[in-house]
Parts: sequence; structure tokens; C-alpha cells
Amino acid sequence: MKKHKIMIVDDDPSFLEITAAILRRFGYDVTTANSTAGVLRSMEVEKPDLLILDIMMATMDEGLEFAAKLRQKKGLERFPIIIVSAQPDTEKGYGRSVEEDMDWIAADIFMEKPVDPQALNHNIQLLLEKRTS
Amino acid sequence: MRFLRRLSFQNKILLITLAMVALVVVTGAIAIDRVILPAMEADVTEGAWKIARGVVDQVRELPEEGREAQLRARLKPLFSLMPKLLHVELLDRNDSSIFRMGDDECRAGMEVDGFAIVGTMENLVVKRPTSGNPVYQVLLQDPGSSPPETELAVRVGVCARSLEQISVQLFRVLFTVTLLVLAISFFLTRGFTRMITRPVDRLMRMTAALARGGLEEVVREVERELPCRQKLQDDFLLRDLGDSPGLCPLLIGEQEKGAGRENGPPHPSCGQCDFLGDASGDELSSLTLGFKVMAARLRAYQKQLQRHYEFEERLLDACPDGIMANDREGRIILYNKGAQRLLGYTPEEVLHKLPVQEFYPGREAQNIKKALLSDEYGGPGTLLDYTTSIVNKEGRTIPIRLSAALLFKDGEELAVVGYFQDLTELRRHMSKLVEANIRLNEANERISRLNRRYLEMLSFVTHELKSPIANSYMSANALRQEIFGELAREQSLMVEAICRNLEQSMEMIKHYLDLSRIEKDELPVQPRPTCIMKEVVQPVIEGLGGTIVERRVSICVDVPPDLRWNLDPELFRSVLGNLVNNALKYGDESGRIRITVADLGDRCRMEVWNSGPGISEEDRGRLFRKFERLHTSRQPSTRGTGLGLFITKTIVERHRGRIWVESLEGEWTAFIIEVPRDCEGLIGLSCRNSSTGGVMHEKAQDHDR
Repeated sequence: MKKHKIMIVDDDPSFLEITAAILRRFGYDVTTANSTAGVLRSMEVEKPDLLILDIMMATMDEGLEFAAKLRQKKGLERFPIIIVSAQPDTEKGYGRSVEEDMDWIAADIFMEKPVDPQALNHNIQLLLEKRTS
Repeated sequence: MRFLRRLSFQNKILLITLAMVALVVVTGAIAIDRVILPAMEADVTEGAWKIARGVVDQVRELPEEGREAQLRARLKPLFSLMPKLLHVELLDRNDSSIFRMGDDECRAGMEVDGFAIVGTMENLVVKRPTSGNPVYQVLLQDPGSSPPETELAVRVGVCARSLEQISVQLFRVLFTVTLLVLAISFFLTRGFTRMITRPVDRLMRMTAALARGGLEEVVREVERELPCRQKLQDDFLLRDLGDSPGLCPLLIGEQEKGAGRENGPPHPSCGQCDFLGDASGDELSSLTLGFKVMAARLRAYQKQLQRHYEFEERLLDACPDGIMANDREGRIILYNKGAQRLLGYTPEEVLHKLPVQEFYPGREAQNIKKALLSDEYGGPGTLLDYTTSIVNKEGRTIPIRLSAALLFKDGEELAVVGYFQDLTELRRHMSKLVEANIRLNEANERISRLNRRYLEMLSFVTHELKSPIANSYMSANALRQEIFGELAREQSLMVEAICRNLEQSMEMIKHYLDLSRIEKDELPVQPRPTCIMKEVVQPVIEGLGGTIVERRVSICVDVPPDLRWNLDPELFRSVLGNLVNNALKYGDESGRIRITVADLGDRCRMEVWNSGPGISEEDRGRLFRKFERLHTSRQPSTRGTGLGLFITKTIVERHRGRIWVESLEGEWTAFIIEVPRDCEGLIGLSCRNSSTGGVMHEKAQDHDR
């Protein structure tokens, strides 16, 4: 069976390293990027099945903006995205609730750091199954 | 005018009286002259005639020879018998004396020719000389002859001096009596007229005194006459009256009760007063009483006015502000002590002397007048809180706040009265206040700058700390979950220890983040109908399951499974988690914890009870303070930020609820929360009944077991 490819975008190299190692152990093909610049192009090359995005990178909501932009692309409207952030979920949307933000965040799942490896795996599987179904 | 005329009437009465007396006197004189004297003369004449006839009879009877000697003998006793008979002379037809006897002195008059016939009787003619001594000549005439021939003339000198003396005496008496009557009538008339005119005169004097404005004089005059006054000088009743108007209690009574004299005297002391009886005597007394009443009333009014005036004077002087008034010409007519203090002039230097313009610098007086008449400062004729300056005696300019008013009488401007306040002190205080305020503002700014920096640092440090710790925890957790292969027992213990410590660190970071949000007032509260059991209690107990097992604590949960309450589940998980965590940390090992939630109708009550050492009364008050950590003997090594209960309390209060602690030392501790039902007025975001909906959304926390 072909390995699913997961792309992680975060400006924290340590997080990239740890998460990549964990996900590889779970049997995924992992590529990483430390900023959203060039991610779209590399996505065309790498063709990942799922994206893990950090919110706060160079700017406060670089991750969110990128997710919204991505979802506007043709054929990528339903591309699975997991958002991971150091901020608690109540804070990440500038005071908005998760429910409110879900409409435009364009992410499927939000996870607060530290991310539990098992839970991450569980969510990835959930999204991949949903995509294939 | 009538009184004056009445006064001049006095002289007329006097003159008339005198004239009447004169008339009586003249009448008396005439009566004496015309009636009494002739009667007396007739009497004398008759006496003289009788004597003469007696002499003539004697002469007739005697023979011619030896007549002389015999006559002398016969006449001698006659002379001694009749004292009025002065002398006897016989004259012949040729008027030559043939016999003479008696006093010769009175003969002198006989020589005179002019005789007036006094009367005739039979053949006798009685004559009397028109002047000189009163001598009667009796002529013995032959009545038959015509012209009657005188046979023998007998001159008899009868003394008529007594008659003259009587007449003189009569007139003298008349004169004396007249003088006496005149004098008596003069004084009597004068006395009577005085009796009439004196009260009138007094009234006139009083009126004149009143007209001159000498009220005091009138009052003195009137009061002196009150007969009871002296008697009552020591009367306690009178003393009770104090300095009430006038001194006559009757008058005071009248003044107070109106005319009520029919009901007896208004004051017990009036019984001693004879004035009441007098009053009804005559109009003058009534008038005087009227005067007295008027005087008493005037005096009372005057006293009242005086008191009023004195009070106003004292009021003016007591006023710390300056008060001045000037008339239309600008002359100062009122100047109080406050103004004196401020300006330095004495009232004598100012009153009716200095014009008001003198006190203001430059053309300020005109400006004030203009402002007074304008609409800007409280309407025309009124000036309110006008800030200007005034120049004192030494020439120093003093800043003042001036209020003034135009006073009118009959629509005409009468005076301007001004009240002013020294602003020097106020300005000094103001500038001090302003300085203090500036310093305060600076300090405030420094503090808020510091606070901002503290918040920035707090938030920066915690955020920056969070990422490496989260990364460490993630990797340690991956190791613990044996994703990278099975661990040896000791390795597993180490990893477990790393995880536990990192969890504690993360808990602390979470507290600091919460604190930073509270301090920045950025703690959003998003209440929604929440199932307490499912969304709050269960996740918390599950999250702490490891610790519960570790400390061998038995947990009893008494929560209605379907109780829903409007609150922020996320925040309340934090609240309950903190309380249960505390119960585990500070309660008895192998002890009991009880979580009770109950719907009290208008509020929801949550209680976390644990057996344990309890909290002293003194410590209970400090519990909810920021950075407050209690030193418990049993758990000296427990780590914490001292923020948990502060954050808990803040969250509860943002839900308009309250939290408190109850404890029995050595036995148990219970934290109790009450949250009201209605979510209106919640501090934070608006109340919104939203649910999680069908969005695929899972919390990392749900898997954090």
C-alpha cells in the first residue's frame, strides 16, 4: 500500500523534526517546510495527502491565511488540513470561538501544542479516510 | 393750626377778663360819684342846715342889745356839742360882720364870692362856696320881699372835710380792690387757660419733635409718665419681658393681642397703673394714650429695625468675602470687614468718599459694568463668578472672583452691590494641585508603562517558554507511548518523570497566560448551555484520573446527569480542574473527595469537598489573592504559581457568580461556587446559545489522557 504523504509547515525546526520523526514511525511519508513561501509550488511537486500547519509563523496568522488561500485553489477546496498552534483554541481566532472561526479558517481540525502523538495519528487517519470515502 | 389758634386765645381771655374788671371798676366809680357822694353830701347839707337853723333860731330870739354876749354864751355849748360846727358869723344887710365866733381859719373861704345855692327851706337859703373850704352860708331872708331882701345873714361854717375824706377813701378802696381783682383774675385766667393749653402745647411739642425725627425724645417723654414703671422696676414679671418693645406691659399686651382692654388689664401689674382710668377721662388723655401706643409701637419697630440692622451689620462683617455697594454716582455706600481685609482701606476712608472705579485697574470698572449689563454672566443686572482683579491700598493687584447685582427701586437703578473673593490663595492651591496632578500623571504613566512592560514580558516569556516545553513534552510523550520502541523499566520511569515535570511546567505556563489575559482584560467568556456532568465534571475527572489513582483518593460525584447551565465550558473545566487538583494536592492521601452540583433554581451551586487538614480562618481570606501560596506542613514541596484560585475566582466572577471556602481545621475543606441562571450582564462576550454543531472538531484535550 502506498504511503500517505504528509506535509508539515512550521517555523519551529524542533517541532518539524520531532513531528516528522513521530509521523514517519507511524508510517507516513513526511516533507517539511519552515515557511508558507513556496509551499504551493512544492505541493505540486510533492503532492501531499494532508497538510499540518502552524498558525503563528512570520506573521500572527500566516498559517490561517495560507489555509484560506489554499482552499480557494481549484481542486483543493476539500484538501485536508490540521492546524496546530501554541495558542489555546480560544485565542487563536482573535477572540472568536472555534465554531465561529471554522467557517473561514478552512482547517478541518485544530490541535493545541503540545500535540499528543496518538491523537495526531488518529486525526490524520480520520481525515484521510474521509477524503478517500 | 387750630391748636395754635387756641394757644392765642389764651391772651384774648386774659384781655376780656381785664376789660370786664375795668368795666366793673368804672361802674363802681360812677356809682360812688353819682349816688353815694351826693347822698352823703345831702346828708351833710341837712346836718349843716339843721345846725344853721338852730343857730338862726338862737339869733332870732335874742334882743339886739347885748346880743353878742348872750349869743356867745348860748353858742358855746353848741360848739362843744357839734363837732362839725366850725364857726358862726353874723352879717348885716351890708354884709359887714357884726358877730364872729369859732375858728377863724375857715373863714378864708367865706370871702370868696362864688356861692352856689345848695337848697332853700322856708325863709332860709343855704349856699355853699364853689371852691375852698366846705362852708355853708345860711341866709335868713324875708320871703315876702321881691327881690328877696336879706334881713340877716348867718354864716355857719360846717366842716364838710369828712365827706371829702370819705370820698377819697372810697376811691382809694375802689382802686385797691380793682388792683387786687385784676391781679387775681389775671393769674386765675392764666392758670385756667394754661390748663387748657398745656396738653395741647405738649402734643404740639411732641408732634414737632416727631416731625424733627426725635422719636427717642417722644418715647422718653411718654415713658417717664408711666406710673407703673418705677413700681415695677424690680418686678420679676417685667424682667421676664426682657427688652421687649416699650416698657409698659399694658402697651405690650395691646400690641400683642390688639385692643383687648374690655377684658381687664392684659398684665397683672396694670392694676397698679392709674393711667387706664385716665385714659377714658378726656380726649387729650386718649390722645396721649394714643401717642404712647404709637410711641411704643414705633419703639418696638425701631428696636426690631435696629436688631435687624445690627444682625445685618454683623452678618456683613462675619462674611469672609468682601462686600461693597456703590450708588448711581459710583460712591461707595457699603463696605464690610472682608473688603477692608482685602483692600486695606478703613471704612472712614472709603464710605461716601472714594468712587468705585478707584479700586479697579485701568478700564476694568467699565468692563465690569458692561459685563453686568450683558447677558453673558447670568443675565442683565447680574454678574456671576466674573474673574477680575482689584487694587488694594498698597497698590497691589489682587485676583478676585466677583459677583454683582444691580439693585432697582421703582424701576430706577439704585445701587450696585458686589461680592468678591480673593483668588490668590485659591490660585496658589490650584497651581499646587496642577503640579501635583502633573507629577501624579507622570507617575501614573510610569506605572502604566511598567505594567505594560510587565504584561508584555509575562506574555512573551510564557509564549516563548511554551514552544520548547511543548516540543519537549511531545517528544517525551512519544517516547512514553513507546512509538520509538519499547523502553526498559528505568527508561520508562525517567520518561514518566520528564513528562510529569513538563506537565507541571505547562500548567504553570497556562496559569501565567491566563493571568496575562486577565490583566490585559482579555479573558473572553463564551457562555452556552452546557451539560455540567458531561462537559465539565467528567472531562476533569478523566484528566486527573492518573493522579487520583496515584493518591488513592476515593471520589464521590453527586451531579444530576442532565443538568444544563449557561456557562463557558472551557473556563469551567479549568475552574473545576483547579479545585479538584487542589483537593488532591492538599487533601488527605487516601482521603475522600466529593463533587456536588445542584440546581437551586435561580443559581447553580457547585461544591468540591475534601477531607484533609483544612484551612485556618486567617488563611481563608488570603486564598484568592494573586501569587498567594499557603505553606502547608503536609505538602511543603508542592509546586505552584499561586495563581490558580485567583484565576478561578476571576472566571467565576466573570460569570457573575461567587466563590468562597468553608473549612473545619483538621477535618475538611469545601470550595463552593454559585453561578446565577441569567447570563445577562456577563463580563466578556455576549450571551450566545451556540452548540458545537456538526463540525468535525475535536479537542486535543479530549485525547490527552
